[in-house]
Amino acid sequence: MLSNTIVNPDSTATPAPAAAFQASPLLLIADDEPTTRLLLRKAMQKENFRVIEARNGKECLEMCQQQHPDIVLMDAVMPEMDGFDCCSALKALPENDAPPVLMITGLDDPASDDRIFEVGAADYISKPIHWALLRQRVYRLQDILKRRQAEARIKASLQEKEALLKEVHHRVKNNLQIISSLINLQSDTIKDPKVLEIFKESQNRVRLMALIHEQLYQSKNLGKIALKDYIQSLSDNLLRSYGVNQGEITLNLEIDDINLETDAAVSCGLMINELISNTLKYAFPPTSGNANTKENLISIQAKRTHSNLFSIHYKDNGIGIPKSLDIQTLSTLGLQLVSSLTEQLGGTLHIISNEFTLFELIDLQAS
Amino acid sequence: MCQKNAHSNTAEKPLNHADGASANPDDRITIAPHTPTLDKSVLESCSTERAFLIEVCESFLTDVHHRSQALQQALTQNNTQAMIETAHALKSLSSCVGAMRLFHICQIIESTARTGNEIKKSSVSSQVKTECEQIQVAIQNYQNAA
Repeated sequence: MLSNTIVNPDSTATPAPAAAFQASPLLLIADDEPTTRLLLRKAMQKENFRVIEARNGKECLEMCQQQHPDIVLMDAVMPEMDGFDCCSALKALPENDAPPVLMITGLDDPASDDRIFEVGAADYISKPIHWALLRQRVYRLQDILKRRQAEARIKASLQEKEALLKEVHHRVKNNLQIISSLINLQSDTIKDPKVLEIFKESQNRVRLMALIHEQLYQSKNLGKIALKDYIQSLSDNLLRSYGVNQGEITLNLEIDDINLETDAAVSCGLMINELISNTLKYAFPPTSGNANTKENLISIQAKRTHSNLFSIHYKDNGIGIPKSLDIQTLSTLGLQLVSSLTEQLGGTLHIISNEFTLFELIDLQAS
Repeated sequence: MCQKNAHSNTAEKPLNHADGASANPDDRITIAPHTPTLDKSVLESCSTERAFLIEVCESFLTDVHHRSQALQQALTQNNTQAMIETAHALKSLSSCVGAMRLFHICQIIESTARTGNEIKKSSVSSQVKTECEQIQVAIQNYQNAA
C-alpha cells in the first residue's frame, strides 16, 4: 500500500532517513495554499509521516489512486475541485483506494460542518489550525486505519482458508469418485448377482459421500449442506444407478430449507440411500402388476420441527414390507443402518405399512 | 503567549455582529483593540525551528501581496463571489502566521459577503491594503530579528 514516491512540489526540507521513511505511514496534504502546506508538512513530518502534497482536489484524487496514501488532510476550499467534491469522489473509490480524510476548513457555518460528514470525511478541524488538536485527530485516524487494515487482513486470511477448505473437499470428492470407479471396475468381473448387488450398494454409499463433499466445495457455506439439493442429487443418482427409466417411477420431493452439518448430512444421506435402494430393489417387482395398473410413487418429505430438529417422511406405494418386520430385530444391513442412524441423530423411527409403506424419522438433529 | 492563550484570546473577543466588531456599511471594519498585527505565538505554535519559521515567513510574503490585491479588486468590482473566495483565501493565509488583524478583517468580509450585506468598499479595501502592509512589515521585522 505504501509508495516509495514522494511528491513534494514546494519542499526544501531535508527528508527523513530512508529507513524511517519506509516504516512510516504516507500522508497526503491537499491544500491550495503553499504556506499552509509548508506548516502541515512540517507538523506531520515531526510525527514521522511521509508526506506528499496536492494543490487541489483533482490532484489529490489522482494521487490517492496512484500512491494510496494512508491518511489525507484536505482543505475544504480549493480551486478546480474543492475538498467536498474530492471527498465524495474518494468515497466512491474501492475501499483500499479510499483513505480516511481529515478536512481542514476555514468555513465556520453549520451547513459546511454537516456537509463535511455527508461527503464521507472521517473528521475535521477548523482554521486557524490548533496543532495539538490536529495531532490528536490524526492519531485517531491512524487508529481507524489500523483497524481497517486488521479487518482487511482477517478477511484475506478467511478467504485463503475457505479456498483451502474447498480444495480439500474437492480432493476428498475426487478420491471417493476413484474408489467408486474402482468398485465399478471390479464388479465387471463378478458373475454372482448377490455379490454384484453388494458391490453396487457399496458403490452407491461411496457416491453419496462424494456428493456431500461436492456440495460442500460448491456451496457458499462451507460448513453446511442444503438438504433439499442433497436429496435431489442423491435420489437422481440412485435412480440412474438402478437403471430406472423415465416415467417408471415418480419421485415427489417436499423438502424444507434445512441446512445440515456434515456429519448429520452423511447419516441422513445414508438413510435416504438405504430407503430408496430398498424401494427400488423390492417395492416394485415386475410381477406385481403395479406398472400396468397404477403409477409407482416415491415421496420424500422433510420438515423442520424445531430450530435444530427435522423429520423425514419417506413412503412408497409398492408391495409393502412384511407384516412380521420388527425394528428391534432387523436383519438386513440397509434397514439396520436406517434404524441405528436415526438413533444416532437423536430421532425415533416408525414404520407403517398399509396402502403405503411409510418410514417416519422423527425429530432428527440437524447439528 | 502560548498557542492555547492565542486561541482563547480569539474566543474571548469574537469579532461578530453581536460583539460590536463587524462590517459597518458606513465605516471601516471594527477589530477588538488588543488584537495584534502579528501574534508570534501562533506563528511559533507549529515549530520553533528558526530556519523553518523563516521559510514560513517567506512563503507568506510571496503570497500575501497578490492575495491582498485580488481581494481589493473583488471589493472594487463589487463581485460578491470573488469577495467570498479571495477573503477566504487571505483569511486562511493569515491564520498560518498569526496575522490576527488581517485574519479578522477577512473573516468579517467573507461572512458579510455570504449573508449578502453591503460592505463599504472603498474604506474596507484601503483597510485591507493597510493591514497587509503592516503585517508585511511585522513579518520582515520578525525575520530580521531572527
